[in-house]
Amino acid sequence: MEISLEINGKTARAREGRTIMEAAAAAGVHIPHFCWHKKLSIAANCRMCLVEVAKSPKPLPACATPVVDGMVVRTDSPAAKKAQQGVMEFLLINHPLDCPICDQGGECELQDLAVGYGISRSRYAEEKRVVFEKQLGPLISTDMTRCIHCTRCVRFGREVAGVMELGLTGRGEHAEIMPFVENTVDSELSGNMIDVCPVGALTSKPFRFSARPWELQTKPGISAHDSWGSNLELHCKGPTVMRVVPRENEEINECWISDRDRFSYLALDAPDRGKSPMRREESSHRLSESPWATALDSFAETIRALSGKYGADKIGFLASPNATTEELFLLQKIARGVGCENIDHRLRRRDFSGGEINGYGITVEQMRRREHLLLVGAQPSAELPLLAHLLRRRPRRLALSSVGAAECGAAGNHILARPSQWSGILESVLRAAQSGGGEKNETAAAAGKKLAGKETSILFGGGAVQSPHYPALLEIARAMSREFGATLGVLCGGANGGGAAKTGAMPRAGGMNTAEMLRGGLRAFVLFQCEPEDFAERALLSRALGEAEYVAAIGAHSGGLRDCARLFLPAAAAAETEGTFINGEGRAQTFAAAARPPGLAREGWKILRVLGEKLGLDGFDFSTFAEIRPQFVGEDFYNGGGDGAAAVSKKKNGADDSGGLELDFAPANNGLELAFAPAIYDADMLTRRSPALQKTASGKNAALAQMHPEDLRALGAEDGDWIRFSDSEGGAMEAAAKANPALARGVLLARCGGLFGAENITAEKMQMDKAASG
Amino acid sequence: MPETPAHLSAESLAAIDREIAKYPKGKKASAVMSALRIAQKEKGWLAAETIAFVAEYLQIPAIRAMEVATFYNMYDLKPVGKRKLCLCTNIPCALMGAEETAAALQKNLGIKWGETTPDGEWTLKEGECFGACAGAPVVIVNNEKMHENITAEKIPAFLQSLKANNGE
Ligand code: SF4
Ligand code: FES
Ligand code: FES
Repeated sequence: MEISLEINGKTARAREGRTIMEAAAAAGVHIPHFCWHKKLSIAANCRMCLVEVAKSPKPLPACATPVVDGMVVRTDSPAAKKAQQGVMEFLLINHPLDCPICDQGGECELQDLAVGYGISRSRYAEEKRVVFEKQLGPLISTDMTRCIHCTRCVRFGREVAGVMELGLTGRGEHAEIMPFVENTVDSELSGNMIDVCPVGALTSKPFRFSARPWELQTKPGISAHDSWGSNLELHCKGPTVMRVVPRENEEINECWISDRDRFSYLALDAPDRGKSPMRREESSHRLSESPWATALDSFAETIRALSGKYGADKIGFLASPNATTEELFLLQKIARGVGCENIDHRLRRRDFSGGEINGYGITVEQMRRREHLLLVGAQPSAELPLLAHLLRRRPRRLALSSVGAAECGAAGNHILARPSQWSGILESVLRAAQSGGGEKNETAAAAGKKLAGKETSILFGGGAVQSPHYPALLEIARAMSREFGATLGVLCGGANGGGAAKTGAMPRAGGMNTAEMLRGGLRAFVLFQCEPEDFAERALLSRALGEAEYVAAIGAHSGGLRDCARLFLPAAAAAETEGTFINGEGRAQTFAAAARPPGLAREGWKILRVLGEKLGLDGFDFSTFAEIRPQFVGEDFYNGGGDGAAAVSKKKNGADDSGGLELDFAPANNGLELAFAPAIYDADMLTRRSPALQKTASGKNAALAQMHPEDLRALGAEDGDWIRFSDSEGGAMEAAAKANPALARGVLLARCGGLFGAENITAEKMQMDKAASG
Repeated sequence: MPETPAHLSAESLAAIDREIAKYPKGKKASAVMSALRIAQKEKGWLAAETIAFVAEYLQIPAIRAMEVATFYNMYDLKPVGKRKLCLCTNIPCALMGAEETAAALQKNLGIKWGETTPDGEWTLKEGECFGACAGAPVVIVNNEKMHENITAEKIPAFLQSLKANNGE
């Protein structure tokens, strides 16, 4: 119901239940505030928003006072002003007023409001208190004396990041924001605390003291790490990205971004950043710098010579799914131009039978409203941190995975099992849905009953897509889709998750997919923005590259391919080029370059254009970005229209009990299975090279071999012991162990370094002296 | 839960369970104050590990229990002596001479606020209004026994009697 009230003498209308703060904002009246944040619960503890309300003997906090019909509010009366000035004087009593050496200076809410609503003198002459810094990890710097105890950071942790990592201890004079004992802040959304902190108490550690906000130019950008398509703001000083913050987009990322999106820019000047083309002569063991012209000519000559000698079908083109639509489009054009059908961007995939799904199949908005989400093999907090945030707010979901993440477990229904068991479980879920129960497996029966007749979306995570059982899972999912109209989608497609397949960067009839290329005895490889760590079968890739006669790499960093590449062409990273990413919803977002590529590095599309021209191919005689129009592009493509996801009917959500469905399967006897959960900071070339991200707890864990504590105990090993893993195909690797009780029994969560197979992995504890010498 | 030194005795856990039962299902967190009190009674004081144990038992983040434990000053975050004296220094008590009482206590015991005598006999803490202002200045001994009208000149005798009666 709408009511009417008066704010500063003007009549305003507002819905009942709204606060004065919201009503005023809608009426265009700004009320100063610190603790209030539109996405967080109301705390009403800073008192900065005090306003005068007729008939109330005291000023009231606008953020916590609901409007009532006929209310008369004044935000600028002498009484309101006096209250604001008084609060400001109190807030500054213990504040160090060290703006000249504070990173927040120039973008500080306290500074702004002190100027706007405070008085210029303080009556407080006593000693100020000092609060010691807290060590919160590699991402957040603290200057806790500046804290005004608004508790936004605490509420952000509890309400958005899903873990309460900071709290307000003590009270009055002794109140302090701190973690429990000496914990660090480890959530994958933690960087947003820097943004919500209205003062300079929490600031970005990597950005610290490197620039002033007024020196920075703000450029829009799009996340290059996952298929969510988060909107970014890149803050640049001259040609360099100095930091990244969220750009608000209510439909996608709201006002948050993941730490990965925020701190991966640090990789833009990693030590192995390519700044010049490099070539290796036949006789030499080292790559050495080469002029662009020579490098480009040598590429064209070699490709022509090799296709003459072995046939163009002995060349393989592999590209990162984080490459832009235009880059992928041009790359496949080159491949097909030279007569080669071997091109793929699906690097984290083992079994390609069973067909394709691209994108989520629904929009993010629909994901928020669907009755049920069935997540298979997904680890949302690591794959799509903002999906994890979305899941925390909706109880109706069922997850089947080998890694139990908090967002799948506690509040929702979660089945923990080995990848090889998933299809069996899904089948019983399906049968239970068909027959309305009666399954032996109670968990599956309950799940089936829940899903039957409901509006369900099935979403596959990286764990499912990478597993050799993906085709079987797909088949059952399709049956579910027929049975109760479930939509199908994949979560893990990379920054161009909704677009890469459409660009044609996939083999057509007669071409080889990634798995076939790795086994196909190819003589030459062209790698675009990827390195061995980006592949599901990285050991196989390394072997294939080692056996090939020619490897050409086009990418931002040379490191992963330094040993095998004969040619390296330095390319721009996403922040340095214009391009288009199509996210999992199918939403196309075109962006401009925010920074300049370093040294002689050039935008990917420019490099590909010249390569196409040097190879004498048709359709490469354009000169501007705007002229690249991938053929699949529709009318409103560059206006951010995209082709959208399937329409979904808006049914009312039914009631639902979300009782626990935890199930731990006994370990099978046939060795370990890979869990295929991509480590969050091992996602791509940039995250791997961001020093701050690598220093986080998740970054450090990525190098470890994680197993269920019982499985570890069965090996007679404990945390920190070195384990040797080997598979039946002759692959092996060694890693330090870490017990992880959130894993299913019988799975191994690790970077699969030297392993060829995904199952039947045997593990053996290494003797310490051997480990030390190895 | 694993057996660690922070693990509480079966009696304490039973007492905590009784507190939990007073709240609706799924609202275990509401029992945090009682649970911390019971834990402190068993352990003598609240070590970080004890607080973490209580938090895990109530299924709340450790820092939430820490917030509560640091908010109320009847929780002791450091080991305390055999007799913990807590003197109210809020305005009514201050007007009735709490400041002089404080000086006398500190002089007689040779310790300052928050300290414990080297022999582990006495701890001195500053308190906030106990809601017993009629008897100001007020001292609470070991969180449970309240003594009223403790003015500075009574201190030597007061301490003697506490020693004799073992804190009662
Ligand atoms: S650290 Fe910042 S966000 Fe947290 S309470 Fe203090 S001022 Fe508020
Ligand atoms: S904004 Fe209203 S009390 Fe802080
Ligand atoms: S002020 Fe001391 S008991 Fe109330």
